Amino acid sequence: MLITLIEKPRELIAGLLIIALGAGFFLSSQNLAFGTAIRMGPGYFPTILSALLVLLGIGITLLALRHPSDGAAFGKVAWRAVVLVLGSTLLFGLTLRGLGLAPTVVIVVLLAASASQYVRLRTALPLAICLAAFCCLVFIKGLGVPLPLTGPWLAVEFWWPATSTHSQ
Amino acid sequence: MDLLSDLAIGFSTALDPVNLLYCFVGVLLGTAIGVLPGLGPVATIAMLLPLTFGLDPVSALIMLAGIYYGAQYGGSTTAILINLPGESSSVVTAIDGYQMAKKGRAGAALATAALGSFFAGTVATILLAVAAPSLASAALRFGPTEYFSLMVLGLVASVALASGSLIKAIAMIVVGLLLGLVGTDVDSGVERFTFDMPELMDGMNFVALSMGVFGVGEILRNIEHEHTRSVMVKRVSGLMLTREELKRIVGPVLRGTGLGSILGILPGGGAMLSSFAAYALEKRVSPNSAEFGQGAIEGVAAPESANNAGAQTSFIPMLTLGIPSNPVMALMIGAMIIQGITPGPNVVTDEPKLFWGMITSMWIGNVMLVLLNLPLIGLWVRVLTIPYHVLFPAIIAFCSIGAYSVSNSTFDVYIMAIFGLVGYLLIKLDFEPAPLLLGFVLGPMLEENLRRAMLLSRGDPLVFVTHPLSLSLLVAALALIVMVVLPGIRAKREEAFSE
Repeated sequence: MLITLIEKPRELIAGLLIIALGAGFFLSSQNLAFGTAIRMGPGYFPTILSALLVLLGIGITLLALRHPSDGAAFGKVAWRAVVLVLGSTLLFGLTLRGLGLAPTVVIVVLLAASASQYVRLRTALPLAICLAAFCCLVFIKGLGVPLPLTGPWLAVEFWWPATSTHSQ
Repeated sequence: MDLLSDLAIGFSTALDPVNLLYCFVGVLLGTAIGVLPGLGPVATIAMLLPLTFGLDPVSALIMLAGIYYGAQYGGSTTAILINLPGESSSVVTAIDGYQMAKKGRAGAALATAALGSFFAGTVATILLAVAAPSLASAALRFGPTEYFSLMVLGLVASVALASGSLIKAIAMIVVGLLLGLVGTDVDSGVERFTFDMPELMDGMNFVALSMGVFGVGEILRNIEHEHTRSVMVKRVSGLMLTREELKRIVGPVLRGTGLGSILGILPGGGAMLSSFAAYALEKRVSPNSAEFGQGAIEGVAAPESANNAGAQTSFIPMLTLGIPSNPVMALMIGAMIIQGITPGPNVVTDEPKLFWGMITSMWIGNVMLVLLNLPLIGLWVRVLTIPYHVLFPAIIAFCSIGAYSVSNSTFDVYIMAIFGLVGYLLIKLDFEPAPLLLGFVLGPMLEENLRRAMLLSRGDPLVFVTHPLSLSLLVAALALIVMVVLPGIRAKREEAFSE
């Protein structure tokens, strides 16, 4: 049984994760006033919910222990994709204000695209440039999101001309 | 004739050139993105939500509804042409639709889907117009006790009717409810689970959360199973149905519409369940059941009518009760809240233009779908061939800007990234992400009603079982759980989903 659990740990991990999550919410709910049933404090509902979550997690764990063969392997994790895709969104947040929208989109698209095994620079680069142009057109010109085309980190800070004469 | 004058308000709103334009843009964008691989309606709507923030509420919701049924329809196109259903509701369409395409009848399959969807959409819209106002006025008499029980029933039903492990789905609801409580407590003004981050004071941004879980998480999963896809059908011709084919689809379309309309109203029902049930039913009753799986036109007509009917009628609980029956409706409710409209039974009376305008625009949108999609099919075939590695970097870029633009905050972009990881982890651990979103939207409402109910009952929790209506709602929720847990029924349910 232990061997099946090690080979197919998915359900067990799921259960333990839910317990941990419930416990985390439960502990941080304890800093909040519980109140009474008539006048519920801010901690009342979260405490009940997180206790329920712990119970559900225990249930999932017990089911996993009782029927270990129902489990499944966790499966391979696409680490490269996880790092590159999530990294590219984080990078977007970090560089957006400094670099401006156009360079940020180019970098983010190139970084995200490299998560795929099929991508080649000679297709990705034109894609990135087109997308940058498109995004600037739609979000800055069309929707009026207040962002510079190129930001203060670059030598020239450049805004879309129309944003200064905001007529809409 | 109240209904007629209400519909007149609706048509005058929906036919307003601006709204007509947004309806058209919504349907077009929805179809285009629905045709693209790996983007379901939830991710599509989440990604396009920021585009609607600048619009007035009526136009915004009309456009979002257009995106929804456009995406729905686009999903069927990919199911038929390349055997890759764009979303779960067209999984069964792929079975016979793709076989028809292989036999050179792709045009007929697409036309059947379009006609069936149009008919079903018309019937479901009429049903919505007739049923919704009376349901809303009944709901207006609900006290907090009944509302609490109704939400519990809605949440339970939404997981009981879905596939997969029940206990894990309930856990997802509870996680969603807890995440929904993040931010300042309305009642006491105390901050909860914000970890002293001022950005979390108003709660977690739900657009960022849904783009993370349904957009980014889905991308990570797709890259893991990345493969190039080949489109077998290069040109689609022969859109016309033969007289015999027309005769064969009448029954399935009618049955699919009926079944879909009913199942769509149920929480957790909506388009997916409707299409599965309609296919299973048709397989039993059709005189051509032997042909099923080999390109039976009935196997396209029934689920396509049913999923469109279900998609439309799932607006009924959303518009009349403010309770989402599926994640798309949860997004709609989120959009309403962002637009400053309180979802619930008051919408019908307080916002007649919004309510009736949306209903009539759904019908107009369905007309557009037929007019747009059959002639444009050549374009959609070309869109289909866009490889995924070109697509997902674009989605990442759009989602990042979209998350940022909600409140011009990079914090929301990070929230999206974190929930992208969460979404991927959930997929890896075989958790359904949909109940999480439902819980997230309902969390604050559920707490509010619980508080008020307990205040009114002077802290007596028995109030939920002494009020007859509340009791029957809770009994229904319990009955659903028991039904799913009982082994005999569980076996049947698995059989139904494997069909």
